[in-house]
Amino acid sequence: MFNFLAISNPALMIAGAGLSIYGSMQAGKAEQQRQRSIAAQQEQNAKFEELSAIQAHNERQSRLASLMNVNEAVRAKSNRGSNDRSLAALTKAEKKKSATSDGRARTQSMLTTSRMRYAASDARASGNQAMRSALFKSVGTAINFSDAYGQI
Amino acid sequence: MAIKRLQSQPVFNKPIGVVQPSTAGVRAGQELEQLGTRMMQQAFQQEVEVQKQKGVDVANNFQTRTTDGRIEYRSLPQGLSKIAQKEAQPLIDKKYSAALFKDMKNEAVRLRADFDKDPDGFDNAYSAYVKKTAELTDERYKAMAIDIGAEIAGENTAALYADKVDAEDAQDFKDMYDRIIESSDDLEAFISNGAPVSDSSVAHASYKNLLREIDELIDVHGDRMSVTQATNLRTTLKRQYGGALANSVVKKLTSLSAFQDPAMGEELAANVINGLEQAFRTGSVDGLEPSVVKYLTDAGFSERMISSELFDAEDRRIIAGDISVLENNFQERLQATRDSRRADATQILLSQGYLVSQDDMDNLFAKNGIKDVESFMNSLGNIMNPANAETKPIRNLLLHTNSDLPKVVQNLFTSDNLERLANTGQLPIAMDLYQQTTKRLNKDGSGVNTVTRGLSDNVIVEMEALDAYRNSVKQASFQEYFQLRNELARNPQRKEILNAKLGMDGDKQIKIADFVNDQLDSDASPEEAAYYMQYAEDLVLMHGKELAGEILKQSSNKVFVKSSFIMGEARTRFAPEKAFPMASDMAVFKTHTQGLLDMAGNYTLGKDAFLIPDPRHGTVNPVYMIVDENKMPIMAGSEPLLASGQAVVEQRMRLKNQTTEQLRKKMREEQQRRLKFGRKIDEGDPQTIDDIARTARGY
Repeated sequence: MFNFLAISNPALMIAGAGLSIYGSMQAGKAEQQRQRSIAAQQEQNAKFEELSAIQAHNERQSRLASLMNVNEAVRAKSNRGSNDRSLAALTKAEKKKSATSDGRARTQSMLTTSRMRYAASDARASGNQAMRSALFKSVGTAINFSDAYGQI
Repeated sequence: MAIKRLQSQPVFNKPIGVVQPSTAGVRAGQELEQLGTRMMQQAFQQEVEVQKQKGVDVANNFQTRTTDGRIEYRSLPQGLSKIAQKEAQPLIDKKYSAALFKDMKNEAVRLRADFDKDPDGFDNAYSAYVKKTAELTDERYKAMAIDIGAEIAGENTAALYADKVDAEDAQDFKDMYDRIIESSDDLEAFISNGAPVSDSSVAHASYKNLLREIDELIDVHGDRMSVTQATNLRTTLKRQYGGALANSVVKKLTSLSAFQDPAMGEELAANVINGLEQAFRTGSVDGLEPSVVKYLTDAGFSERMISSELFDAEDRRIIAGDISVLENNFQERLQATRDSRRADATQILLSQGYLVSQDDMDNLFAKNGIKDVESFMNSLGNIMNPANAETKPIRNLLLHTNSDLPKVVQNLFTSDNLERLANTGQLPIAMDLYQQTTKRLNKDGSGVNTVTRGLSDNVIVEMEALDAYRNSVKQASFQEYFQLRNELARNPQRKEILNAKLGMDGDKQIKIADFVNDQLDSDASPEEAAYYMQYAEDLVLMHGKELAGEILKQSSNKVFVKSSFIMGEARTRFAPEKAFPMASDMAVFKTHTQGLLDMAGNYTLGKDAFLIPDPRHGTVNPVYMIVDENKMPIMAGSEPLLASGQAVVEQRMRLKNQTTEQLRKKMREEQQRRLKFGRKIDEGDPQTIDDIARTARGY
């Protein structure tokens, strides 16, 4: 059976330094993966936000079309001509109102999506930074080891 | 009916939030990293310790010198780690430093011997040595060599300066001290040889001068003297001076004409010296006889000698002690002279056939060199050898006189000493001595008479027993005889052995009392039987019944005798006839006792007045109560009359004193003759000178 106590100190130092570097790299890698996961989720959320904005727009357009159709029916029933100016004004106002809401909803959706994409980007950067940090730490460990080994 | 329309809330797909991924992987990696770091650091620390120890070991084993003792400068061994080097180097430096220090110190010691009391010479020589050493030293240690050299040079140069000064001072102290001691001794001898000691004398001036020199010594060299040394020096001088004064007085005293008398001169001188001692002891002459003071003054004594001006009480006490030694010497000489004269007187008395006391016999024997029983035992063979002319005087004292034997001879006959004599084969000689000292042929040829010579009855019985044993068929040597006696004394079967030896009378066991009564004469008194009972058991055990009987009969006739003066018819140990065997002594005793009776009334000793002995006083010098025919004490006034050998002792003393006075007279005549002879030589008397010349020429 192998006797661990018989391992010389320099060998133990080498093993320790290796473990330290490996651990550091593993920690960096794990952090990078974690941040990537967060970024992916943020990207997905941004897409959902876009989808949600399109769906809300469609809904508003649908409701505006319904309103126009109803008003058209009401105009026809009330025998009012297509050049009925009050009706035309009413329809114009409704369209303008709808356009304003669409504009506001689109802006809000763009801001939210943008923020989510930023969060995703930030998570990716954070993961990369953790990886670089692990690398530098490993280099520091290697330098320390080298100095100590030189003493003995 | 209006058309129904679906009423519903619009539904949109919205962001579903973010699930935070686990950090377990990160933590695992971090843990692994920390473990590795700790492992590396721990291994490093351990290796540091290992390397440090390696450095110490290397330093310990590092040789700074070659086999011939020279310092050799070497680097650290190759292959050592930095840590080991860092640990080893200071230690090796220290070794080199110590080696350098030792070499340089040794050189300093050597040079100090060469330049003793010459600090400058030492400094020059040592500086050259340090320079040379620094040149030869490795670069690393060059500065070290110079520093060490400077330090040692400084120390030694300073010490040499101090030694030089101290040596000169010490020599001066020694010279002064020795001069005082020598001068004190010279002064003592000067005074003891008779130098005048008045205030204006040279001796006194020298004494005062020495006291001043002591003061000067203390002033100059007080630090070299202990607290008591200075005081002791003064005290010693004073006592030497005082002792010399006393010696001078004693010397002059003994040369005064008053102390030249050969018979009494020393006695008188001892008395006056005792007066001198008292004068010094008390510091006064008030208690002394005027004649003593006059003798002392004639010998140079003055009261100033014992005054506080010269000596305090302690000094006087010490000087008085010295004088008492002189006095004791005188007393010893005096006692020796007295003993010698007494011995001469005793010799004369014995030669005239008188008896003398045991004290006188002791003194006479001591004068002949026999002072204890050991020396007597050692020379017993020579003394009893008739062919030895040298011991004839002692032999005559023992065998041809009847006085009490001296103690050393009496002690020879104790049981212990008899046993020792038996072990050395001398017992037969001692028995011959006993026989010849105690047995006297009657002048009318009627037989042998026994004189006790002061020996106790126990000794007589013991010696008679031994004599009987010698004359019987001896079963064993005397040595075995005493061994057997000691064994029987301790034997638990003693009673059974005794009964076996006594035997049976028919079917009845013979008792020791019956045996004693059978052996004694029919007229033996109960006292006699009781006396012999104490020896009978041992005698029967040792010699058997028959021989024990013979011994008892022999002893009985010697220890118990009939007396004309003792009350009653029974024989007694205390008979005056036995105590005073010399007719002259017996006559003195009878005359003295009769004189006592004449004072008490009309009594006659042995007719109507008799003696009853007091056993407490023993048989050698017995004391008796004088009684009438009815055993009633005869009184002189209210006191009963007692008779003793005191008159005999006094008569012996008178004879001795008379003889001593005759001796003194002869000594004085001889002294006068010598003085006259000396005067004739001084005057140049031709006849005397012619006589001396003829004596010198042998015709």
